[in-house]
Amino acid sequence: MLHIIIKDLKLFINDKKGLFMYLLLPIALITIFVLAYSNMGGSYDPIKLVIVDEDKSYESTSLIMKIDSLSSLDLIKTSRDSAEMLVRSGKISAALYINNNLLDSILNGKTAFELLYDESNEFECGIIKQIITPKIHRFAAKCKIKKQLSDSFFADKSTIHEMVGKGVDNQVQSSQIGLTNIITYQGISGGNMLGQVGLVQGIAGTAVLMLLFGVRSIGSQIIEEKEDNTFRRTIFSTLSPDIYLLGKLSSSLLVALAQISVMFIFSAIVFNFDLFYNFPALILVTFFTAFSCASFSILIGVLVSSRNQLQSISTIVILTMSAIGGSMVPFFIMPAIMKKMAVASINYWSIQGYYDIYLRNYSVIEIMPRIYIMALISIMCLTLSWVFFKKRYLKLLTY
Amino acid sequence: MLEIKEINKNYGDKEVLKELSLKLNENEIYGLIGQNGAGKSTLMNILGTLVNPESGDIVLNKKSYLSQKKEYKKHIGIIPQEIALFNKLSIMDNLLYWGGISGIKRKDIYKSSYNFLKLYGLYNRRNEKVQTLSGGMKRYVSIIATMIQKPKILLLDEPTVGIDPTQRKKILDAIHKLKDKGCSIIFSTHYLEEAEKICDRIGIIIDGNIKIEGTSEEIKSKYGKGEKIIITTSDPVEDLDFENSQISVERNQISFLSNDLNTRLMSAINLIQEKGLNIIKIEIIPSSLEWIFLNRIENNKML
Repeated sequence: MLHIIIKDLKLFINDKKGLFMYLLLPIALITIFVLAYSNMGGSYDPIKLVIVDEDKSYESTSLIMKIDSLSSLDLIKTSRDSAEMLVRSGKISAALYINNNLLDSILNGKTAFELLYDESNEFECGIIKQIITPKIHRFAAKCKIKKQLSDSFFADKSTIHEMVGKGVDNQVQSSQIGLTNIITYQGISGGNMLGQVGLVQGIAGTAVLMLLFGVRSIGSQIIEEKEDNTFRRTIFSTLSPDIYLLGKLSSSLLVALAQISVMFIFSAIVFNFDLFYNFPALILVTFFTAFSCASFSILIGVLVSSRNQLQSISTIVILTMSAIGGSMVPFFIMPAIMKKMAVASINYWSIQGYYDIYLRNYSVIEIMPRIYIMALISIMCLTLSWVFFKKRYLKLLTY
Repeated sequence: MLEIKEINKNYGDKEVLKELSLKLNENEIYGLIGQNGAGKSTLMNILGTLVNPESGDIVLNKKSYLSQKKEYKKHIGIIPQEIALFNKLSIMDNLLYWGGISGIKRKDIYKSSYNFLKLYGLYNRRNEKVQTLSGGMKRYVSIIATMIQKPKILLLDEPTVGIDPTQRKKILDAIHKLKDKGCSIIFSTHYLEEAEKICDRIGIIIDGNIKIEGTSEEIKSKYGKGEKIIITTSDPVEDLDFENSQISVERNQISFLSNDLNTRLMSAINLIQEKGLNIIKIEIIPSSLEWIFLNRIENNKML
């Protein structure tokens, strides 16, 4: 039995590629997931919050100062219009509006604050809500108590301020009753997709991940055809190498489009995923997602030099891209360092494209920047593929 | 029809082909023979336009291939050494692909495929996957895949490697049928008896150039006059020095080529008897290309 164990272990160790996958892949994935779910990859950056102070009173200024003193938030003061634009564009997760007549609204139980937030960034918005809601309630309660004290004792305001600061905190909790209406929350997202971040994330994230694995088979055909000599024979014909590569890209694109269509149709039937919510935009994002995945598969196929290499390298690259790009771990819960890394993946741009359609309610024109980037990624992959294909062209053909 | 003019090709510092010239006549099978590394495959690659020569030219129907590479390719068909087919596709799907990439119309592919499939007894299996076929059958499909392109010139690069003798014979017959269909063929092989059997002319590449060329008979009469003599002894033979000539000794079998049968045979018999060995059998076989190749070319006796 010992001989069997020794022999098996020797075979296992001698399989360098297998060993590489056995050790490196789990290490890579552990690293990515630990970075994603913990603060080990560096602390979270302060979350940006836009403040629009329309009241510009002593009270509103003092509230802004209190919020600004929080290390977890980074305040940006701006106008109502630009605040809304920032949130709608997805650049900022939330905007807090301090309405006119702040004090009166608080005292009369009317809406004094509005929090506009990007539903596609549920994680950050949740944190913002958790941080500022108690602060606002506490502030409003204090304002109410001050007013009550002022009315009761006809005292001068500076004395009341001192009193409130020293002794009224304990009463705040009970005074919050009746303040629930002073803040309203408005999520910006696609109308009927409201609250369906999970659905969009699940479908888009998985679709891109599976697409990358799906089109890998076309990339692997380049290697297979090299190994079984059908590539040589193909080039012996009147077909030029350019057409060969273009043919591979086209078949890879068709496979990708077919796969993603099946995934979306299934999601529409089973999960009520609305395919026609913004159909032209969906077509555009889907096409360029498929195109960039197809280009990536060609690059992988040209870069590697054997089927085994293709299996191991592509698995690592695809899983890494999917982990940092938001297919496995939603982008909004990632720490800052991973968010920066995410832009290097196809997954990120594609998933954000679907967020733009379904959660940010973008028009076709508004999603174009994402499309341009996916097109750029595709062009880069194809250019590199062509360079490596040319470089190895003679090598592939000579005995 | 096809003329190769003073082609040179280097791989790094190594000169693979040196001023190689060759002329292929219409409706001719030209056998290309040479040791491993002699330059056969490089020449095939150049003829197939996969590799460019350093200098020299290939002229097809009085036109240089350099000026009409695409047109030239239309007239050339190559049957590679490896069975380069898509194993997971059916025979017909393979033929549709190989014909299609050569610009043949679909209906023409079907028409000529069916003819060839019937000729090689594969018609009823046309929808079966290539991976289910035997090595010989795969080779037929490989030949058909090239033949449906209707090339004027066929390049066959060692097409019978790894095939059993029965299938080899069938494939050689198949190649001969291609000649009957009007093809001119350059046939590279290691099997000299094959070249002897089906080639109209033979060229032997030595150090990147065709040093010997002619019909099988011409080569044999010039370089291999005489007979091959095989003497079988009762016991294994050791250290036999026979008139400074090349002899082949394998256990209890001695073989050599002789231009002067009587004298050489008598000398050999005397020598064997002096060693105390009994002669069991003597065979006298007319010389073959293989014998010439093994005993003359490989030992540089000819040059």
